[in-house]
Amino acid sequence: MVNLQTRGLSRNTKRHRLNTNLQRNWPLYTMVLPGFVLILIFSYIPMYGIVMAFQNFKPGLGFFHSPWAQPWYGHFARMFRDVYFNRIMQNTLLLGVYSLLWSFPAPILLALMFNEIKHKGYKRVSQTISYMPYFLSTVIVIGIMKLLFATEGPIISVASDLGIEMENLFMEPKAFRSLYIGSAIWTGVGYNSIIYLAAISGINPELYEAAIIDGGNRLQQVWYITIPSIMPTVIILLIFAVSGIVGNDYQKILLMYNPATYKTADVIGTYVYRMGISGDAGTGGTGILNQSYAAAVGLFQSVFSFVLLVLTNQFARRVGETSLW
Amino acid sequence: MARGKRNRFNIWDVLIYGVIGMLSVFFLYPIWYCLITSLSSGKALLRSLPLLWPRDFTFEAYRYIFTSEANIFAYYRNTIFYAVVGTAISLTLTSMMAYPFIVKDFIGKVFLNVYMVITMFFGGGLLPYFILVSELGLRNTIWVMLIPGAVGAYTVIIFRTFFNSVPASLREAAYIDGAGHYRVLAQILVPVSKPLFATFALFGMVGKWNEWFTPFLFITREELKPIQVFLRESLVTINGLADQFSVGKMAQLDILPQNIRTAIVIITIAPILCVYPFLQKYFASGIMIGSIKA
Repeated sequence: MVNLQTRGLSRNTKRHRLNTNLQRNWPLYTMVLPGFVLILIFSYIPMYGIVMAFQNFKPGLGFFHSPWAQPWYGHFARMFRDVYFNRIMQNTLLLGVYSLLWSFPAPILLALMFNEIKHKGYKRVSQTISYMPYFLSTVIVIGIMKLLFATEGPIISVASDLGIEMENLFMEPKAFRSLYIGSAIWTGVGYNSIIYLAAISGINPELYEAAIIDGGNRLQQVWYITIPSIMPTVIILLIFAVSGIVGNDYQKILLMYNPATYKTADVIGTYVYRMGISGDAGTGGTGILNQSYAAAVGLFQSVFSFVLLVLTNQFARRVGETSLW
Repeated sequence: MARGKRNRFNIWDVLIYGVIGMLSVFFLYPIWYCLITSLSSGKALLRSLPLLWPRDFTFEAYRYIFTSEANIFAYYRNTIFYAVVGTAISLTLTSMMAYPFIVKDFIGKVFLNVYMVITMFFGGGLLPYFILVSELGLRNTIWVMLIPGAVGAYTVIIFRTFFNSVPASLREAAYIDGAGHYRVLAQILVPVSKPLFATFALFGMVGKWNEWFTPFLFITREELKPIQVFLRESLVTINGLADQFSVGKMAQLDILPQNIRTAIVIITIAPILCVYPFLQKYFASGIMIGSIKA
């Protein structure tokens, strides 16, 4: 009996406390509200919108009322039969793997070289120059590249002076991957080296002094001290890079490619864009628009890259004792 | 003796200084090429391409762009509007979302945190997003440039971490004096977090300045287009330049399409290149803020 009374009392005080808390703190909830609503609309509703990959989406009906696909996996089944599926899978993976092989080590090498420069002014100026391309927009970068490689541009004209016959590389399927990776390195290598330079600056200088006393030359210092010390940073960034293999920068590709280079340039992202938004899915402008099918292909890509993230993280945890979570 | 050996400038140094020097040329030359081409006359370009210095130095291409039908300043004005207003909205809403996390009595921190973190790992993808934005009627409005990306989980988390490092005693003194939460945020937390706001304002503006995909997807009305869409049309597409500029007029003035294209490049990147050396340290600190989380 006594027990019951005290419990009732404490419940009352609890409710009372909650009321005063709300009276005093209601502005906090109004502060959160706009952000909460924006995330709900622009992140969660599109997540729900994935259902359109299982529907026959009709623009007038929206994701909430469109009829279900028959069978529900119909668009996925169609994807595996699609004549372009092999091409976009192969291009996506090859472009991702080649990008990883070139773009990932480049900033590490650059950081190691910057670190060897002892002249303060030279180091600062060259670093500043190296970050600069990062702040140019993709459109500008591709625009400049198209000017450089144009038929009337400097690269072809210098090549022809040297007796080398060259075509406009933007029309050449064989050149596409090099252009894509080259432009990515031009824009990102300096900026991405910053994080490695920060890791290098955290290394205890006594390690180098000890190495010098032991007679280690500069190459040996880099190999036995600098590189092992920045390994944890390298591995974390490598996990991100590996899981990004399927997620090529399709927006940049949209600026770079044309039907002449689809053979190597068309990736999942660009195919989804053409199939679902611009409507010229085939090599020519055939005007087919299938938004549900495009969403299914997009979903396939998201699932693929999520699985890759989990797997690489698992692998890194087992092998390198470093992981994201 | 070991020390003396370390300070000597040997063949290894020559090699590295040389490679870094060549890399600097590699980073700068494309922009230099645009500059010299834009300042050369059309006839000179046809004779032989200038590679180091402008040939037949002239401002004709710039003069033509500034007086032509294609009103590059209108696109510029739109870009500045989207960059300034969009960043202001984003910083305001982000700090409002981050502040309650540091108040002890706020109920729902765990829920909100999960609510945000989920969006960092999962998304709907291009098509559902495209359809949603279209269905909301945001196509061809200024709102599509300002609202959808205004609050991101990642930025809120960084703001929250930064606000948390501000001593709580500062806030508590203000509460006792009767200040409300909005006031504490605006008059205590925002002023002490200036470096945070400076860095994110800068990144936000550069991001909006360079954004092209959103307006490419959603904006077709000429008077709302930002500069990047104009750039895509005139630099990247084959016929876009002829739509914007009169070919006959160009021939008359001895201007080639390359002159116009390179001049447009220079006009658009000039503001960024001018402020860049002064703001460089904030830019460099941006990547470090990002890596704290990683």
